[in-house]
Amino acid sequence: MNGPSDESLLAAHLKGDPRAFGELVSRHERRIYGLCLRILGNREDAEDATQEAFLAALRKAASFRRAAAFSTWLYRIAVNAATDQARRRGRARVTPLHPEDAGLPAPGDDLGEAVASAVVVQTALIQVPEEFRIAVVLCDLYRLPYADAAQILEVPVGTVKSRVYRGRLALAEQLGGPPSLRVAGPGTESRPAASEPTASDRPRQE
Amino acid sequence: MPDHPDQEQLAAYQAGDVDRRERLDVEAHLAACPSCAELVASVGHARGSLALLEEPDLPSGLHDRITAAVEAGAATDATRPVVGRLGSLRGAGSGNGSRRSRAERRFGSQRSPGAAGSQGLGETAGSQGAGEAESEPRVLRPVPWYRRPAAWGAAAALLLAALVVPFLNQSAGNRTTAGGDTGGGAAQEAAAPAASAASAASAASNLPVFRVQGEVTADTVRKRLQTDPQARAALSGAAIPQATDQGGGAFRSSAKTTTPGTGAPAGAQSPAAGAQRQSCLTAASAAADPATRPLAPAFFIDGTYKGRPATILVTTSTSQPDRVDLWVFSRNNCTQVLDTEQVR
Repeated sequence: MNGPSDESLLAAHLKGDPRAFGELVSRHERRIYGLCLRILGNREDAEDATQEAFLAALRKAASFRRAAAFSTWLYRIAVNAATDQARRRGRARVTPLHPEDAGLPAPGDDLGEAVASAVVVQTALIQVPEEFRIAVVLCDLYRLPYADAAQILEVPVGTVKSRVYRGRLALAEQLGGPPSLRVAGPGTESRPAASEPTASDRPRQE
Repeated sequence: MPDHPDQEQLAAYQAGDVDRRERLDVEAHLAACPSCAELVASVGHARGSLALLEEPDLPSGLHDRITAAVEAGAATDATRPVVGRLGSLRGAGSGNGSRRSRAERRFGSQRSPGAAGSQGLGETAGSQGAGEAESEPRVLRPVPWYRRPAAWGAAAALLLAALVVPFLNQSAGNRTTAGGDTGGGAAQEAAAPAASAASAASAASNLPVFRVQGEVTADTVRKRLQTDPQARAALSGAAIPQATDQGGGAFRSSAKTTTPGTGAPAGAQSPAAGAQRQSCLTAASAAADPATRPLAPAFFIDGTYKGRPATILVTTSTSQPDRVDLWVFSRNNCTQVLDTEQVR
């Protein structure tokens, strides 16, 4: 499909084009939902967060600056919507109720073993501390460059790297890594992010 | 053996984020230290295991839900010039199409293997590759309506607007409806030309309410429509399009000129009840088959459905005027459609 860029669609929306925002929703909803699902670990919360993300994008459309790609901007909004949703829930649900809730293939999907493994991975991922989990999802699952993830999370690149490393370590531990593996929690800082802010004092510009 | 590298140092080494000297140091250590080597292997395994997580399909109904919420969001934002005209969102992503293969649905599958890790999502300005993938028609699994999500942001948005309007409409005192044929007239007229959120809110909150003793079924509604002229009037009133459709949004107002009232008046609604009722319409619209939208609300029934106290919204369809559906909610709780039946 050769359509207008996301950025020009947003500009069209701001000029009153009634279809433009809908096109943006159609383009990005699946990916945003996937992002929210991996961060939140269950379908219901992910759906709520996805909806909230697009509503927030609608509200904030006028504040979009072309300095960033639209997708980066939208991801930032979605990550914030997901963390807000997790906060509303009090805690992320530890175990998805059903493979389908975790966005996994249904058991009848001829991939029984893969399903089981995917459930294990999703369950392990949701046990990773949120800050690290988000970094892992963005960088290892969505394969964003550190620089993009840094823009999305509004932290220095070094902080992103540190979170990704620690997220991988935590994931390895959850997946039954060697007993020597003890992951440093968010409170115990080491290089290269000696002054990494916690999630709660993270700036919330969107 | 020298001190073990710390875990982050090992992770940085694995990610290739160390300088040459550090890399040689770590490699020398790993060659002599099984426990660190095991750690590195387990982290590599963890990273690889993420490949098992495919990009999920968009859940059935979510596109419509987002669309409805965005419509409502746009309608409540007075500064936006697109009020009520976002109907074009609907269905854009919910058409039928071929299901993408499992491999295609994997994360990152749109990129060449060599580009992984450096290409991001390919959605930077001017790059259409990812946009193309995203715009492919999706297959929506036929999830039964009752499994659809219940938390309607759109309902919340309209609820806000609806909280205001019924206050203007409360002159009807002991009449059957909050607005009905008297106090609601002005609001109903106001609803006609512009599908503002406020007037849309009045569409459902002013509906007649019939109180039915005993069990309500599609059959009892059908009989009621045959025998009760007021129910019939409410239905035919709903079916008349009042405003030029500016895009087919589900929240387009369909103002009515029905004669309310019934043998079993339900009493005046409180403003909160009116707002609640509006969210019934919002929830029903979101759950409705797109082919039947926009729904035109006809009346409410307070009764019992399958043994439970229920508020039942009866709708017709602007696009299919002969169609009548009922939407079952817990009594005075419109947040979730519990059941639905096609009356005719």
